[in-house]
Amino acid sequence: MSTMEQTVNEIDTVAVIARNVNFFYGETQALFDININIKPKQITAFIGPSGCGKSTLLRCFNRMNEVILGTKIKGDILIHGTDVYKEGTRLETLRKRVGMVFQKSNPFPMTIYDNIAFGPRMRGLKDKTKLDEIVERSLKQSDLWQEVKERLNRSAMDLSGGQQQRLCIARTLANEPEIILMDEPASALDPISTSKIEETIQELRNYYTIVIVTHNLQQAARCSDHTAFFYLGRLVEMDATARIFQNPSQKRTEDYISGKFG
Amino acid sequence: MPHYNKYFDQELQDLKEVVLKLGGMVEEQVSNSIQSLTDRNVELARETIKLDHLINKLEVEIDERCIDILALRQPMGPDLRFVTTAIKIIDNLERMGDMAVNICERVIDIAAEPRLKAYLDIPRMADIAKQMLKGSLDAFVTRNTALAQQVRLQDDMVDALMSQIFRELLSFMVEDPHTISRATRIMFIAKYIERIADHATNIAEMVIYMVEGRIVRHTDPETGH
Repeated sequence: MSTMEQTVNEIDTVAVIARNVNFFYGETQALFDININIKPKQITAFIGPSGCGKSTLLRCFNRMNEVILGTKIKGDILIHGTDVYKEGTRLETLRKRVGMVFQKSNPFPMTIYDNIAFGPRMRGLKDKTKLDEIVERSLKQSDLWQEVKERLNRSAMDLSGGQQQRLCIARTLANEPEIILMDEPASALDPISTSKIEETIQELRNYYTIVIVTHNLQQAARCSDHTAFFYLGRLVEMDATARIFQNPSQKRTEDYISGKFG
Repeated sequence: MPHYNKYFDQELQDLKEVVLKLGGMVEEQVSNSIQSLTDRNVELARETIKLDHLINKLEVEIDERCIDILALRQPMGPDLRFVTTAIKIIDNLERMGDMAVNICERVIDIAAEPRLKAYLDIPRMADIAKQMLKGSLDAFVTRNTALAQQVRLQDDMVDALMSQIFRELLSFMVEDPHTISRATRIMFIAKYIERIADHATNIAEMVIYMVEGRIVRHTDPETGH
């Protein structure tokens, strides 16, 4: 099979392709020759110790790293076949396709309704009925609808931490992204809110491609289909989650998941 | 390689030691049961039966310890395999202890009657079963899969001896129905020993899983299929 054909095949079966990705913060290299394929409509977890590059790679997928001065990327990132670093790529379009949920929930200081409707309105949607539909559907998908349907016009800032995070997920979903990136989405939440977020993530599976960065190994084990382990800026191994946590093929992975050092 | 949490290292080390302790107790029970048979020593058989509750008690204790580790440490990878293997090993050891008790009970049953024949194959079979038990425990401690594999292969010899004993006892019973009561009990004893060897094989197979993460149960030890 030619490289060309291979790429075409990959595009059909792979949501995100990172090819020979090297990333630099100024002089410091943070990622080394990363090659990874993210499967569509499944959940992939990135794990590894602090500073291993997992968040950096995640942020390469929607060019979020560019807001940091002095960063440089080499290599390709393809989202369903489109090179996201190609000249002329519109960041708004990219970030609509690749949504992101952060560690700390960041609702806009406006009503719950306006938070969710923000993205569609930005893209010019004015039809009230359509917006209502999007708000309801997104809140239902993020499992928040029952809790907020009576108070959509109240400020989003009044919600609890866990609810705010599910609001942020709903806000991402309102843009109908192809891929959702989550950077430690539950690390600031209590166990019950964490369970709700994890349940939401599982429900979104089969509809969206989700990549989640987490320090919580049990969380990766509980909610992901595939797990990638990073160490010192390199991808050590990626495999089915059950395999990574029971019998990984690399010693480094084994040591990390079982909490060993030396 | 140590864990970041040294107390966890200690817990795993303690678990290994206590599994071995249970293994040592079972080895002794099995030896004594066989000795009570060959020596027709009813006293030893009774003593052996009396000690079984200690094995049961320790087995429950280790079981609880393993569940605590699973609940509180949430072990992953090799640690997960070690703890789940320990749970299964102690279950098999406890069953071997029961087999030793059953042997002793049959020894008491037949003690009142004259000796049917000199035991030759049963002690041989018991020797192999004991070797297998020892080998499987050594394999567990030293994570030696080659040794575990050897234990699996030995099981065939035990099975061969079992059918030989069966044929021999059958011929006794055919010739003289008065021997049926004794011969049947000796047959049971042979079966118990064969079961002990099976449990040792189970342990050996779990050791292979623990070390390599590969499940070899229900496959042929020689061909691997």
